[in-house]
Amino acid sequence: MRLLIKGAVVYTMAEQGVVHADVLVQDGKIIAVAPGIAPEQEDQILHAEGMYLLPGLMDGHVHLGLMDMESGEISETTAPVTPDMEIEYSVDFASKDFTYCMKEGITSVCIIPGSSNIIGGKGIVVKTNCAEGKKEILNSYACMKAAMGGNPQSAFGRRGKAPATRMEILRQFRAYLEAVRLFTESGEREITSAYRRSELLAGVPVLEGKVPIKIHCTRHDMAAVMQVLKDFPVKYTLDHAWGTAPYVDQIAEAGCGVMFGPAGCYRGLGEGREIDFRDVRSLYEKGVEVAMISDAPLLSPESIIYEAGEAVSAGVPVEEALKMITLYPARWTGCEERIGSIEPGKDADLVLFNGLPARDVHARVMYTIISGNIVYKMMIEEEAKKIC
Amino acid sequence: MLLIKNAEIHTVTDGILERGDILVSDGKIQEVKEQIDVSDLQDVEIIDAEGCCVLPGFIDCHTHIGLQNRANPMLLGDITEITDPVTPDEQVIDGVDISLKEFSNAWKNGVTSVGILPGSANVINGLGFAAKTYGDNIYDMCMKNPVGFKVAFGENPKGLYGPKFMRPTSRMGVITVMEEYLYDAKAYMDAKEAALEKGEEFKENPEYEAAIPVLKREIPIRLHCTHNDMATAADITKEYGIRTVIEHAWGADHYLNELADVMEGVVYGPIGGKRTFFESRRTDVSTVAELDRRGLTVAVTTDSPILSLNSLINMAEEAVRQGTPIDRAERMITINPAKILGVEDRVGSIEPGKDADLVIWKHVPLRDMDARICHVIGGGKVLL
Amino acid sequence: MLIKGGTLHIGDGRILPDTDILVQNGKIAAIGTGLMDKEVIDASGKEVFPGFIDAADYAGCIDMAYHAHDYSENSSPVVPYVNIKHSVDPDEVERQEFYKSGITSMVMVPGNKNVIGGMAAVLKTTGININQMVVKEQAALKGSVINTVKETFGSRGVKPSTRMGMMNLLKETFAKYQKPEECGKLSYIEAKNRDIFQKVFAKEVPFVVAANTKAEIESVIEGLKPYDVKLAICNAYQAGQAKEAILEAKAAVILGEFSHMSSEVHYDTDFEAILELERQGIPVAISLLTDDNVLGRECLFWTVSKLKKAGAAEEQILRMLTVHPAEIFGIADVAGTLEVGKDADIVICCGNPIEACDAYVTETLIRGQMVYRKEEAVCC
Repeated sequence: MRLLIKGAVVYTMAEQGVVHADVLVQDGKIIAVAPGIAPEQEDQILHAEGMYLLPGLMDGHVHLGLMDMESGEISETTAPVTPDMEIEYSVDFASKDFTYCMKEGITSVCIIPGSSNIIGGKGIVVKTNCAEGKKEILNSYACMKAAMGGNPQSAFGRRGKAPATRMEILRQFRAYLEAVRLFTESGEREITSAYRRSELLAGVPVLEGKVPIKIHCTRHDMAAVMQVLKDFPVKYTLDHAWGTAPYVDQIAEAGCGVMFGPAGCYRGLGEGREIDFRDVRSLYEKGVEVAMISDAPLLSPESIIYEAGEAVSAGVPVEEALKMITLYPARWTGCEERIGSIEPGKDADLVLFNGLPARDVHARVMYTIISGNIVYKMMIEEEAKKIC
Repeated sequence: MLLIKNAEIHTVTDGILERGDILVSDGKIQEVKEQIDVSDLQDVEIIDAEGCCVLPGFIDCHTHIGLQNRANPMLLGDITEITDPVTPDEQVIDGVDISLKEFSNAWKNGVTSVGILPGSANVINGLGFAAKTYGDNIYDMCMKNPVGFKVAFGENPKGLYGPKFMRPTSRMGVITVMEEYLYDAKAYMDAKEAALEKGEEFKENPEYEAAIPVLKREIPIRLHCTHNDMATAADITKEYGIRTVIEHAWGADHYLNELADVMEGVVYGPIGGKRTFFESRRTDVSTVAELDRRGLTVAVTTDSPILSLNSLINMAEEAVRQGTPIDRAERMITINPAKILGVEDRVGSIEPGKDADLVIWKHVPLRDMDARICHVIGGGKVLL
Repeated sequence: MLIKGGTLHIGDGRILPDTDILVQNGKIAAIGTGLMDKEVIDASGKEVFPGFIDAADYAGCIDMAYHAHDYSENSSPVVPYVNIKHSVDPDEVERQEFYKSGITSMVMVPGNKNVIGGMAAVLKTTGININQMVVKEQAALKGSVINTVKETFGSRGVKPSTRMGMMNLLKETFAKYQKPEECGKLSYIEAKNRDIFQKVFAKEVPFVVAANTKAEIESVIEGLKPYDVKLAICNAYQAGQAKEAILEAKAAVILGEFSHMSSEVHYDTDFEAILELERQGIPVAISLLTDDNVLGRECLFWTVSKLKKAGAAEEQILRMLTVHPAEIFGIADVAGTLEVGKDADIVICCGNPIEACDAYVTETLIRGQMVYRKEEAVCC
């Protein structure tokens, strides 16, 4: 059976831009985006006149399903460098957090280890219908999590273990990448460092530029880590990225991505003291791809929509702000071929809103569709139409 | 007898005598005038201070010297009795060890009198006294005891008792500990007076006895107080009609009106600490000029051993650098701290009848960067 | 100073297009058309609002490095006698830059750790001197019956470790100070508590109590039924579910913050029911308070968005941001609406932030002083 979504304003996030069109879905994929698609008899039709259709929203940096933080599911804090840890085994995919995400139009999330480790392990991208027993992992190695700054410092330094300083964090970070390089050059045979084989193997696709490093860093830590990474042919994103203002040009030159947020925090000292959406606008103006993150459970997942709204308020165009919660997080977690935009061939992960998120304060999710199935419906269609 | 001749004399209270003599005997200043003829007198030691100037010995009215041996960090300090947030009847004089080098360092650098106070780890910390820095026995060196009742607002008591889940755990909790003590002490004093009037027997409680000189305005409270706590300090001072000296006073620039209205004095500093996010973050010495202008008795302090007493002069120099006139800054380390300690009849200026604590300088302190000490005279004796 | 030609959202439902506000001596001196003054802010094409009020927060009582926990005197679960004013650090309030989001007043409350946590104060969101920031001291008595209390005291083996323990302490304290004369000679602290409770019983100030769930809200309302007090429930995530009890008690509602996931209970918030409460005359306000934290200024409008999604009208939202909190805390004589005689706390926006995400604050005035002006404002 096919699903035909008729009459919505479609924000494709692709070449087509914003179009008034119908979207046809079959076998979980989008097969056509065009005006006036004629339905076949069997087709399920979703009348979406007056609504806005977006690709399913994505948060590129969360720790969902790891809520039991006290038992330490979020970081393997027994060693500062644990590249072969796989977060997948710590996640409770039945957590109701995921159901909540679906309700808010978030259809994929990148779940990553915490930032207590310098190198924390492998992150995954999963669709949020996993709580319904349909665990679909889009990318089982979406990124390698790394962290600079205060978190590893306090997680280890306070126990009298290295790293106790920022400089030691950078040293260990570089040492690991060097070790992987030597390991690769030896044809993955010789181990000349203290790292185990599986730890080095985890780094190989990173150095090949296939898997990005996802680096928790803020302020001057960004400058330091960009300097180190000049020596390695890797892809990476700067995550959190508070206090970016002085480093905008450097970031643009480095060609990396930025995952900004969470915003809306209390302005304390330390890493979160400079949270300013004008930075997002400057990055955008320099051509840097920025994604919004909630860092859930730090903020609740739908905060990414509000963050996109704040970016618009700071002067970023709406379409670009929406890419920050759809296309860009997909791109920087290696999932662009499957999700992130509305194009034939991509997964039918779609959200219908009664207004345009990041522009209209009242915009709320009417339908969430994952892999062609309606997984959340605000209420019956007639009522939904009334609201529009 | 001692005669200092041909000096530029900074009397502090009566301007500068461009060229004059000072006659000292029995540890006191006998005479100060342009020329003193000693030809009739015998056994007169004469110091020719040609080209030098004489100032009274400096005074730091807020120190904790002799209470913590920094050379032996294993020893617990004697600054505050850190077992209870309210220890009003502690006498800090009983804990002072004058063998510590802090004392000789003080007078060698021209600081001849100090106020030694309990610390600020408790809300109510006890009683401080005024002393000379030279001598062999602290009880002889003591000029007056008690001179102040030490109270602390803010981070210190909270940081000590909060982690133990004892009152106070918050800044607002600190205030209530202080208010409660004053309220109870006042009730005690009233009950005592009523009983004595009727000739009834009254059982004394030393914890509240300590507050009676405060409530009777005989001695001030010396209040560790910064930033927004000053607003509260003003309220409490008015409510109980007590005399309050604000200690440290970082952030006073935002509370000038509150302070000028009700406070007896302000002891500013130490300065020169690094600006972190705690109480000293808004250190701004230019404030002392404004406080002085508004008629408050202003002193600067090293809070020694936080800073050494040899940097007391640097505090005053910094005040000059930040806009305080030299003669006013001079007062902040001489007569003003003497007033705050209630010993202005004995020290703090060069006047006949006062203790002969005098320092002879080459060049002029607070004016010339190369000013240095030639002689220190304490109690009429040439110490250096 | 004259704010010329803006669209005024008075706060009481009226919207006056192309109208001027004359500000004199920190107050609104006149509202009308064709007013004149030397100093003019051109607000033509802009939207003008009364300053927004954050109805519960303790920013400035946590120091910037998170070392201090001055928002709670947690040496005891019942500390009515402490005054939050004594804990506020104006520098840290300033640091939050509330005025950039149009928030001109905030209700500084003791945190949610104590069953009775002390007295709240209403402050302006900028100033270097605490006395000058105060709008109203002793504006409310603050309490809490959420898990945070249990976590604070129960974990040390100190009562309360249960919900019944919290309710027991709450009721005991109210009972004691309703008849203080039966207690014999009062200590200083008891006497101070008595004075505070006299204000509560005289309905001079509200009792603001944190309660998250339906059960907590209903327990508080039931437990305090014998006492005739002005009750306000804060956090109140399940106020919708406890609608009947709230209507019956005529309790006010101060919504907590929703982006903070420390409190999962807000997943179940019934915003439609909360809006219905407001329509039935319950004052509803919005805050940045969570269970044991406070969030940044942006989040106030993130809650607005949630209420809009549930179908709130603009004037209803504006009331929640201005009139209702002013009414709950008894500052309606100086804040809450754009009316002559009130404090000139005025927010000038490009676009309407209650309707559109791309709206932003261009100028904020507090007591007639321009405390914020967006440099690169390009709109209108």
